[in-house]
Amino acid sequence: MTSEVNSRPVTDEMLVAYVDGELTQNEQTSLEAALEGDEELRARLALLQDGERPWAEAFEGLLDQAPVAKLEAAFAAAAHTHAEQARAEQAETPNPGAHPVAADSERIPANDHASRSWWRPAMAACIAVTLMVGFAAGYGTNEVRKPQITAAVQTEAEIWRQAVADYQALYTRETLSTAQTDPTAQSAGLLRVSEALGLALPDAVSQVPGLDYKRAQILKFGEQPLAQLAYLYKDDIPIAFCIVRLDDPDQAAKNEVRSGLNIVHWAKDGFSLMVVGDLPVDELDNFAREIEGKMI
Amino acid sequence: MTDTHLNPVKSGLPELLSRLWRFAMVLSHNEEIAGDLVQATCLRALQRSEQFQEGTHLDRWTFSIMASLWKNELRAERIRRGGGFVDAEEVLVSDGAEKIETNILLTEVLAEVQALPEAQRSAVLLVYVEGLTYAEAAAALEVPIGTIMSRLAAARFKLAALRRAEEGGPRRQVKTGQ
Repeated sequence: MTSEVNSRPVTDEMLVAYVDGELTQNEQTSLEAALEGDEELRARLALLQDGERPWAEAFEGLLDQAPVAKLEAAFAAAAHTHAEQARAEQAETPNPGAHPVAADSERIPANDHASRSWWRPAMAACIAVTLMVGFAAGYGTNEVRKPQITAAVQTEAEIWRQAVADYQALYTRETLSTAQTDPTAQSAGLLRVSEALGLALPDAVSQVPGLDYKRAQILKFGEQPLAQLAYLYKDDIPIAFCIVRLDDPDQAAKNEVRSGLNIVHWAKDGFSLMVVGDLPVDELDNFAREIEGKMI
Repeated sequence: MTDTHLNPVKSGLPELLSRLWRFAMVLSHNEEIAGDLVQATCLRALQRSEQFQEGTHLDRWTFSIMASLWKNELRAERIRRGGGFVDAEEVLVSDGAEKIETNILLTEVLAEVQALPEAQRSAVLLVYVEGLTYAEAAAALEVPIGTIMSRLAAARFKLAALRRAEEGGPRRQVKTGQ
């Protein structure tokens, strides 16, 4: 194309810039003058215009396919690694004004991405990821400083609840601000998640008085699909209802605290279910009972 | 540690994740690598957050980090892993595509763009999808503006040829923008 510069007064680059509105007023005027008397040039322009597509609209669809939960997790992992690196650097360069580094803080080598990827859908990675977020979730709360190194001796259900709680602890109201609020889309989302999970999620679970339903998505716990329904309480506190098939015996609702969040969990028909959020036990209990009632 | 609440990179990245992933998908054609690339980009952006000038576009800045990571590190890894490039149509239309399926034309556009050489499709994504100016795209991809222009022209010629071939063959309505 550039080789044509000598034989043609107007290059393809200039033509495409003209189509894209990137020429200055002067350039545009002289190019339009050149077009007037040059049929061949008009033909090339028409060809370039034939290469026009509804780009933004087409790629909007790809945006809708983004695995939002995984990406949020990837960001959390990056933020965690970065925080660890910053802490390690601080420890190496003593600064009298800075806070002392906690004695039990883990030094993590300042590697970038490859070995600490959050992305592998294997069980081992899932547990590793639990550990990783275990640190991150503690920031700001002063509660969970140590990694959950007891994971190996926990039951699968406990590991699951810890993973969900760690993950939930990273949520803010902004995390859910991009969720679709169109009822048709929400209903379709629930159906998609129901199918992946193998358990019917009635539309009613999205209508919990006092909670603003945001979205349903499928995450992965080991090889098992993990359903996550996200709600917002008083436009401020993220609440999640999560389900995974662990084939544990039925169990009535119990309370516990993980990563500083209250949890109500129960098991039914092979599925383990939990409601988690930064709410007082009583309030969370009420919501959990409401949701449990809708699942029957 | 600096106060995370005052770090515009840290507070701004979450909103950009889907768009970063889309760019990563256009570069890598592979969902797993795209995820890695987003994560690596977030980390690099956080590490360099002091270089980010508040008031400028965080998305542009982050796209340039991703392009550079891809060019210098992950692309090589992608090739080392030996996966080869997966067929574009398959990758982009396989998952959760119910919405896309409602519009065959738009799906076709995605497939057409994904079939372009990497240099062209990243220029197309940044300029035509993300709305960067030529100068911004040139900065993000670390190439001269003229290179952006020739990539876009080449991409358009390729797509135009596809359309004309279609029109010469079996009749199909692919007219757009009318």
